[in-house]
Amino acid sequence: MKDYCPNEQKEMIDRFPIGMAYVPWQRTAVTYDNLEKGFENGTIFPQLYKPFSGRRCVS
Amino acid sequence: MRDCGCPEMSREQCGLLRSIDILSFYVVDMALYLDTHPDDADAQDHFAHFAKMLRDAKQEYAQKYCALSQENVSRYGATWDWECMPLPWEGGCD
Repeated sequence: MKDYCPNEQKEMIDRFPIGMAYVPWQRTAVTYDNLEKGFENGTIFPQLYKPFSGRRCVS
Repeated sequence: MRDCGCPEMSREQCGLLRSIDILSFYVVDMALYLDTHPDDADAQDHFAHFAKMLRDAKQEYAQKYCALSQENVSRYGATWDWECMPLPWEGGCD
């Protein structure tokens, strides 16, 4: 496993230095069955589709 | 029939162009994923599958209409046919 690949130890959030921002790792590469939907949504991964609602995050 | 000078796209041409757009986006987005997940064999398979579909679609477009990029310039035409379609600001994408 290369250095930049994730492992469990690296992802234990309480071991991370404080005061920094982190992005959770994308674990699966599930894509839209309909490629056109990915094109229109701006990502081929449904997990990463986060339309801006103007109020809060879309989980 | 090859007609690179036509000002209006047929429904078939528009459809093929949209397929190329969609496939291009898929390939770019999956490549970004693979940059951070280089050991994901399934993702590599998907990438290879759709990258081939994209190459084929571009080749089909070049043979039916006009080359979208220089590597697809037709070898069958009588003349060098790069840039033989209207550009977007000339109505090529209407």
